[in-house]
Amino acid sequence: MGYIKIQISDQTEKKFRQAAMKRFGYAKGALSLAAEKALQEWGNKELAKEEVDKIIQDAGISSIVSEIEGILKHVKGKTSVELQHEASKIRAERALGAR
Amino acid sequence: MFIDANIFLEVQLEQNRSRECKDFLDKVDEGELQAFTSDFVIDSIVIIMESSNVQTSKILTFLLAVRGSKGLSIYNHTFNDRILAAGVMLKSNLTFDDSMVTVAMKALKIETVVSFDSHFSGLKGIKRVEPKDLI
Repeated sequence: MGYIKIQISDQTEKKFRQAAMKRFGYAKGALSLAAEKALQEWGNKELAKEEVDKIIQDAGISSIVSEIEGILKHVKGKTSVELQHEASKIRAERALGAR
Repeated sequence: MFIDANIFLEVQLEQNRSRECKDFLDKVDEGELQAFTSDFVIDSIVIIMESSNVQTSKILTFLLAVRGSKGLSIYNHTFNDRILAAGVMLKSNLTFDDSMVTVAMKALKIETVVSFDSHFSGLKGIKRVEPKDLI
């Protein structure tokens, strides 16, 4: 088991202690359990972020507009708002279709 | 400000008002304007792209472009947000999707939504604007 000594703001410490006690109770080791979860989650997120940064760099993406411009031009007879509201219908149809 | 799905869709459809949406999104992309959207909004756009037979590679590049934008941040919804959104639906005529937008805006303490959807007009604590108002 590793041992890390860290400095955090009083406010963060207070919130963290409260949350850890609520989640894991007042037993010994509650803070370590909560810290393990929090640090693991943050580490995973950061590693995934690095991976995605590399994909973006390799893909040579220029801008949102240049990547999406006219991509749905073939969809006729619907406004952007009407099309947006179709998303929930599509979700529902898929959920029902999966039964 | 929070960007609704129809602003992206207008550019994708290349309809009447796509020019103002492009100019607005370019400003956000360059970091001249700071804005938020949500993972739920992005999911909706992806679902529409997928159901309209857009190639998967195009969906991927859209997601990468959103992620790489200088001025656009993504709010990630929690399951509790969905419960709050259902609560909003009970008290209003909003759909679940629109309610999720209001929940994200409340969490982010944002009052301005950039949208063509008139459902957001006249809602307490929400100011609807259009891209032309911001460029």
